[in-house]
Amino acid sequence: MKAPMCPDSSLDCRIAGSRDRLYRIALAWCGDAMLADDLVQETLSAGITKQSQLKDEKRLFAWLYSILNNQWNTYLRKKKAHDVLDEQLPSHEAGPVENAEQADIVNQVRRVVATLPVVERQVLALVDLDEMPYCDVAEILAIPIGTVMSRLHRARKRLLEKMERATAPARKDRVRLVE
Amino acid sequence: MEKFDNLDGQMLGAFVDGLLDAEHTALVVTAMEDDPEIRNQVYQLRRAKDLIKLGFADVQAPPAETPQKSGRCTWKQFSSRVAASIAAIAVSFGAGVLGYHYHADQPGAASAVASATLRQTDRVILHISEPDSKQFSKVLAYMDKFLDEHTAENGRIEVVANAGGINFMREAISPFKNQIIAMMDKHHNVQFIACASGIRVLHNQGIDPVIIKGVGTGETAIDHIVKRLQAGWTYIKVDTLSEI
Repeated sequence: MKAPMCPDSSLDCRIAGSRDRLYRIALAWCGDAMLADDLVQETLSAGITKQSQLKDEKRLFAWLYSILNNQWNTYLRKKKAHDVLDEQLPSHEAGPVENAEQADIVNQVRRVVATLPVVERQVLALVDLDEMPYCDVAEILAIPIGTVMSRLHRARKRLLEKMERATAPARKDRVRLVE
Repeated sequence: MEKFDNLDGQMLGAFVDGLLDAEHTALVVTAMEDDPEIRNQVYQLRRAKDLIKLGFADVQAPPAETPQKSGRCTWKQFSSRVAASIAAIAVSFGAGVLGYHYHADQPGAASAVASATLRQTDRVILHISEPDSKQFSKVLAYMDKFLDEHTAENGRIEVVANAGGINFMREAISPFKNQIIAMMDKHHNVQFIACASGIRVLHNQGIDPVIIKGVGTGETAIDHIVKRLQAGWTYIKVDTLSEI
């Protein structure tokens, strides 16, 4: 689905037209299509009803991502999984990524991202997917820039390691076939 | 390598993200020329960035009216879906043309009413989500008044119930069962609908919610409301109804 047509440049239109962009980030954060859709709907609804709170329209996306982050944190709190977010460690158990037979790189990436700690996923998506500057990410997530940088670095490192592990069996099989 | 000791992973990350100033960019570029390890680190960071883009760049949001999975249709989510759907409809038809106005008359629950501009006042959909008998009495009073003024030829009215409002549509427990049946028997331009998703939730809880005969059960409330809004009906959230 393409982004909704925006017949004018009103804020209502721009908010409604940001659905795909928000959804991409939400999906990268939560890894669940239905939940991502819910988070985006909540964000759009809040954005439309609270648009008078947006002081600078140039900051629309940073503002919408802040709302999305609030919705996501509210969800996590409700799930009682948010208490020790900063200390949350990635699972080292053999999960779907390690066992995945699907060689599709896109699904592989999504699966690996879903295994990263929540706080790292958030930074990774905003910087690598949405090309947000670190200072904006810091503002959206209400964390220092140094934390953005360290989380981003850890996330990328972990992503590469996990991708390596996830694709290693497939490569091994191919080598066996050649032999 | 010593002269590049201050080049840590975070700085290389900032280089890859294009966020370094000219001085530090030059430092990294020089380091890359001199040191294959730095070169490899930058390559790996770029690869991580490309992988994320590859994994999510083509993701598109599903249509706004996608039905909820059973059990996940909370009122807050439902309200947002209505509001977002109305926003999408307003956008698709041209903002301001349909004249929908948003006002949050209670926290977290956006409601929408159509202005007089192009709304069809002879097509009304009432929405109830709370098991509040006073609210349902208002619904019936509103319907009586509407049906006094409209015949089947010139007006239609519907009541959509979801969440706690479904109780009013249940054969065994609805205190308004007789009135609902009588109204449906007497008027052919009246329809009651119980949200299919809400019924599924009750089933999942081990409850068999037998619905009053004649009440529609084939659609989720959100789907039905969106369909009516797209057709130009007037939407009224019951808790905004004043005394008739």
